[in-house]
Amino acid sequence: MKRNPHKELAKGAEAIIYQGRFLNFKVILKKRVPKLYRLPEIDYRIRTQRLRSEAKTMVSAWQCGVRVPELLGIDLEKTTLICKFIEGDLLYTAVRTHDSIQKIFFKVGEEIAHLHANDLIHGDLTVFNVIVTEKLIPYIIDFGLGGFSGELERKADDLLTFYSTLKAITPKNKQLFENFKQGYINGYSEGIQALEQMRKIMSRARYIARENRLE
Amino acid sequence: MDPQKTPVILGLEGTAHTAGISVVKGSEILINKSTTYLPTQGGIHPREAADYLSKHYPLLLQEVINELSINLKEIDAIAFSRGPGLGPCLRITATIARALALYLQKPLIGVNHCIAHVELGRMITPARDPVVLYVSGGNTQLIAFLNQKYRILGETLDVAIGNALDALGRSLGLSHPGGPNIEREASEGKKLLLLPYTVKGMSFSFSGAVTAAQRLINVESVQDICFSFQEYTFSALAEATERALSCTKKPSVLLTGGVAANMRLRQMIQNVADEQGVEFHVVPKHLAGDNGAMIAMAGTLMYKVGEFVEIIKSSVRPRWRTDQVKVSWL
Repeated sequence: MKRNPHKELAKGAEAIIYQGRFLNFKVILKKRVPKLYRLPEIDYRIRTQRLRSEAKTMVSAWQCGVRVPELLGIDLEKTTLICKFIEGDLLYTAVRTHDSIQKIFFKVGEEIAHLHANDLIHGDLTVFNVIVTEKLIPYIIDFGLGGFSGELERKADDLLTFYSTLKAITPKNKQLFENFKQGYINGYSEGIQALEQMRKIMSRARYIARENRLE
Repeated sequence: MDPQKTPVILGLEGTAHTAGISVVKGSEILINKSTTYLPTQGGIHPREAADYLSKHYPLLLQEVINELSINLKEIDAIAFSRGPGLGPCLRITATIARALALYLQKPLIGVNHCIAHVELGRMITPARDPVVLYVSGGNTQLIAFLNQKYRILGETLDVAIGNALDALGRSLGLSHPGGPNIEREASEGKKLLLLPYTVKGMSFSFSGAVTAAQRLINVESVQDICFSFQEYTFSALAEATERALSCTKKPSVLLTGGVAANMRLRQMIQNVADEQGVEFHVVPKHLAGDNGAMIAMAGTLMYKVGEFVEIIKSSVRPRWRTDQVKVSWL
């Protein structure tokens, strides 16, 4: 009988997350599983492409001192990524449970500021992709849509994704995004410009009146 | 107004190329008639579409009156598509709605077109609290009810999927609307060509895929181009839908809008639902496209909470986003 030594921890949209041990560390194994709805050719290309960009972006972020789980290895054939296990809650959960949530959002802002100051892009910055530890330290995870770019537009995309998911989960979104912004501007010299660019992207969405467009 | 009684609502749909009139009582459709403008060449011209609507509403209304099993006096309110859509078309529809409300001395209800698609889906399918993938010629959105509003979780960053299919169809010499013709050609395609696949979080974009596919015309076969185009763009929609389900943990997914008629897209979204362990529902073909019944059904919900609009304040809203609507009935 085939034995799976790893415990399934969670099932995301594109990967199954297992918990295990590797090199004596408590680790996460993130396996991007084939998707039935896609043709195998498209599917394989996307899975390996995402795994590669996730690994590259994570390592670069780590080298720049952004708090991300340390990458320990990848297996391209099995489209699996192995990184250190971070103990904590998703930011999504923390929003409902934590008393010092405003402080946490300030710190998340600082972390993203650091990422962007180094021209790194997350690509899918939602409240589900930040883990908050017991000591209230935020770790950024899930870099599958990440990459490298100096463009303000790409950075503003991250900010907008973050704000949109925040709006969908809590009525406190304005205050919390304000805290995030303070941390972000604090840590990134072009922070104000990136936030301005975010407003421009918002004004470009479908059905926004021409006179309200910012560019 | 008796809140216990199921109201009878007349709904008028006219945001783009379809004029629809329907009368519903709860989820029961008493009558549902529509007529659609077909451009002789190119896409939908707003003025031509509005001319078409103004010519056809009176005829359609006469048909409805002749065939309706109940007396017009039994209608409790007039609901109309107030937006979003093409301004000239919206104004024609609103004019008819106001005239009917005045004539019958009944209140007027201004309905958001996108939300009407969702509400019809919730009324006629068993979908409860779904993530909605709404795919049509003018709109492509992932919608869910969260924190008091219908939120747009993801949407097209450029053109709607139906619009993309129409544009590619025209370049390939296929007639309008492009979707059904592309689906037919695609069923004979075999070779997967390389096209862009654009997902940004839960949003997507199609114009790049259209351009790339157009460049392959006369290089590759029409069948292979159609096949590949469907595979890439629908996969992007399916992936974004899966992300939305995974994030929101909603118990079902509902597919609606004109492009919901495409069997390949249905199959992909069914797969996503199976993968995520949620229910899959799709609005039947004759009600998935624009129609009056959806406006009447959304109007029914709004009627129950007294969400009326005075005629003097009933100006149309061509750019009325799904997430700007105050949802007082949920």
